Amino acid sequence: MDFPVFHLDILGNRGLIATIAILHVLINHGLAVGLMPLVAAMEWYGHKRGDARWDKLAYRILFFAFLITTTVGALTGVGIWLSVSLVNPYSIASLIRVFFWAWFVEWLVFITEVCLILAYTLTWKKWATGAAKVRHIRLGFALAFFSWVTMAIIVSILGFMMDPGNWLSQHTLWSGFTNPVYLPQLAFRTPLAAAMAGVIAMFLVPFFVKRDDPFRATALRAIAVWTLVAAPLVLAGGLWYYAVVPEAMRDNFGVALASLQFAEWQQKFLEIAVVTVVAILAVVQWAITRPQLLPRVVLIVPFVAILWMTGHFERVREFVRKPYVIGSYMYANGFRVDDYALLQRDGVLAYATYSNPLTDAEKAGLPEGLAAPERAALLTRIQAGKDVFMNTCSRCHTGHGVNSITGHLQRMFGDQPWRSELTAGYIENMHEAQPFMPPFPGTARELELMGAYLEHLQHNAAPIPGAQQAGVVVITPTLRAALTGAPPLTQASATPLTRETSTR
Amino acid sequence: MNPNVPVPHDIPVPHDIPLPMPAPEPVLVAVLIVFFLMHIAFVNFMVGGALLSFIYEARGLKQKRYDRLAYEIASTITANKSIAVVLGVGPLLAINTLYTVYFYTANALTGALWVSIIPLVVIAFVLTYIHKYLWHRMEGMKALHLAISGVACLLFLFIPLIFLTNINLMLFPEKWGTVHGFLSALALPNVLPRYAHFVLACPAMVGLFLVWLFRRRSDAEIADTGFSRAELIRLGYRWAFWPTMAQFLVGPVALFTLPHTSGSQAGAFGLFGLSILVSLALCVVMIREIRGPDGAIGRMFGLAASLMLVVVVLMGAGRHLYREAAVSEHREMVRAKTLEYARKAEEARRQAASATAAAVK
Amino acid sequence: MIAHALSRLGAWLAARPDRLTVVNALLLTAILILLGSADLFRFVGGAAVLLCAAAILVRSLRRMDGNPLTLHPYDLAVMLAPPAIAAALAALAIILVVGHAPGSFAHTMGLVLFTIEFALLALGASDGGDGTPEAARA
Repeated sequence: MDFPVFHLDILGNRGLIATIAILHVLINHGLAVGLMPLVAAMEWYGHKRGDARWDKLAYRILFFAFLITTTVGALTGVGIWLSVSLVNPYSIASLIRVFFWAWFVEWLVFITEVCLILAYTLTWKKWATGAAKVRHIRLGFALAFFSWVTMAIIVSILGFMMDPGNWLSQHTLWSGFTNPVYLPQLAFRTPLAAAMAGVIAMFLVPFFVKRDDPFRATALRAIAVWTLVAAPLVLAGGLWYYAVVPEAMRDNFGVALASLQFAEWQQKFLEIAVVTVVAILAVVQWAITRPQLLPRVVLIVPFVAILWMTGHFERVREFVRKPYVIGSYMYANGFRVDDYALLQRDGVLAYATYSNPLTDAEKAGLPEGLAAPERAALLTRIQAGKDVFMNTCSRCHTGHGVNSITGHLQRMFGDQPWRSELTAGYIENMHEAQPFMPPFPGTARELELMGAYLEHLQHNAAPIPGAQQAGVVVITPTLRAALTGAPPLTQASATPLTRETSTR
Repeated sequence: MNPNVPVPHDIPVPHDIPLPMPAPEPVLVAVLIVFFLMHIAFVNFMVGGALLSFIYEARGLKQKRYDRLAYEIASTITANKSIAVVLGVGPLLAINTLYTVYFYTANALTGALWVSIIPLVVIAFVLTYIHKYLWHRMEGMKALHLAISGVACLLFLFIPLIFLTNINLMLFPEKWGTVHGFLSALALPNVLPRYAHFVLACPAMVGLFLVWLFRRRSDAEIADTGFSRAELIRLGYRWAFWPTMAQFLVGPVALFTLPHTSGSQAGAFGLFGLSILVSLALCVVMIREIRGPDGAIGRMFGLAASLMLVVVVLMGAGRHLYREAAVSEHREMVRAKTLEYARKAEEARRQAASATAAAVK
Repeated sequence: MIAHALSRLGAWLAARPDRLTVVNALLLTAILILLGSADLFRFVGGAAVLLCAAAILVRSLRRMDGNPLTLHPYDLAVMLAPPAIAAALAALAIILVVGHAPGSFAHTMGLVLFTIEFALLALGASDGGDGTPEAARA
């Protein structure tokens, strides 16, 4: 409403964030948080035993992690910022106002982490003996610690988005930071990171140690023990998390209706987690008992299982949050709960800053044989309907791509004409049947306008461009009157803003 | 601007986020300016280092010692680029907070290019790693190796242009309704002069960085390069000197093409003018170093670096004053509109609550 | 035909004694599953797991020469953690199998887990020096 609407009509806006974020989580957990303590431990053990093979392997694994984390890892972290600010500027801007200092501290820790990984990697060969080596090993454990701290801070913000807890009444950073989902989620992610790192490191060993070298089996067994110890903790953390989430859900949904669908998701998450943990355990125990008999492809099994579980975990996390993007404060469409009364009274278009102009391709497919004035009037209605759609639906739904609105309508109404009454009537009460959907924020007339637009979409498959392609039209009072079909302007709203009126 | 002249209706005035700022404004401004300058210095080292490494590797095809020099410079990029990225996050956080409406609007309007910064930087970084770590293994395929370096340079030169376009677009709300994607935002006045100003700063900054680097290298390491220490330091100073001389031309062009703003630009112009004077002093110091005897070269590096620091700080502060001049009046309008909106929302909430209560009775 | 297959199977099993151990463990598990009695599963399965765990423990203690402190913590972990976790998981598996109705997710997972863990424990108990960590042998 207040920002030009960035929109990707094929991949979907959430698809953009999900792609970047999942990549980042995998690299952060698997190659930084979990892997750095493992590398440092290998270096330490090699030094204690006076066995250079450990050192060599540890360095190779570290160098691999260094290459990935300082390119894709670091940049996808920034990418989450960039993509979220494009897709839902309202939520990220609000989160920044609450969590500025948490992010600031996290940033300082992150700087430390980057300096440490640079120092740790680049001094490995220089600080190779005696006291320098001991210092180098300490550097490694410091790096591991700081990697974990960055995750520990970010997890709090993720927890906050699911259930702000006391923040809703207290509005302080600390009350937001210590939200109820925080510790369980941290307890789940920490061993998950260690297990992921173990699986990745086991996968790397055959690349770095030759088949006929007996050290390959020794190294595989060592990393397998690391993973084995982490795996039961993943399950324990997952169970704790599983136990607190319904509480958070109740705060968000406030209706028992959703519990059935949610229970299904929860159950599925639990089953996937169990299967994953058992798969990890089986492979890892095999690697411990008979490392020399472990084919490399088998290592793909726990890796894929972990990806599957992590992906599903993030989806459950998202689902639990619905219909909010910030629990009980802001809906997923970016509107504040507190603003709903106003918007449902006066309409979204009454306060919108920009209109999202229809392209020529989007204007195709109008009914045949309309006279010029009728056509113009219909196009104005469709334009207004598109603006309602872009402001209220497009953060999650596309027109014709992933999670498309036309796909949902097709499923519900089939090929019968999607008349305005039909769709508007459904959308008006949709949040009661499907509590993970936010209520519609606008007026009945806006629903009807959007209905006209949806009806048009049945005959027009052109992708909906975002502001990044089509630009925006600033809504002037005249345009607003045309879009809302409101009575002529009142004196107050017609007076242009001047310095005098604006700073009163 | 005359206070009684109405603001045209096609200047958008959005609502801001209705939550209080997490810190006093001066603190956020300090975070923004200080860390941005640190960030941009490392970006200069990174971009300038990539360019110089490319140039010297090309020269190294004929004279082997330049190839070794190019490798020395390429080796510094790895650390500098990681620090450049990580130092960018803090200023990004601060600008998100301070200029929410302006920054996010500009981002959305150039969204496709804005988000493609991520893959572009990843590719550029991967190429720099290949360039550095496979240097010796690719001795036999110099053309390909140089091409990799060249592509990395082009990417390093293009990415700042995306940032600059955004940072420029955010200052001019009256243009928001007229922009259609990145290219039209790029065409706004002043983007290209400012870009030229930035590009020239890269070799200048990395020149000083090289002086610092070669002053502290051990004699053995210097001997390995095939140059004498004085030669290397002089080379660094030359890279710092000539682009800085060119800035006396480009800088004023960038300054005088700055669009008119509603607020006063006197403060910004004052700081920029001062920075020109300090730059003159910097150039004098550098020319004395370059012309001086081999034994004495590098003695005044501390002075040169301090003068450069003063220039950079003045530029950063002037830039902030200009930004404030551009948006301050508009921000007041946003603030007023946000308050008005909050008041209306509160009123509507009360109305709805009493209607519900009445319905229950 | 069948005799030929059996003799090849016999040869395959005899080639490495640990193959026979695993097959025996799997057969015992299969019998327990087929019998379908919760009590038998609990007692026979539990006894078998205990037996294996005890054997491994005795061997580990002997290898430590009575003083675990001389070992590096990692070597200690490599020696003790895998069998301890395997035994704990086998116990968990028995609890799952006994406590849940056949066909349920928990019951099925319990059976899978028990099969894996018991086979591993049997293997660990029968191991001579083949599966011991190299570092501990040195």
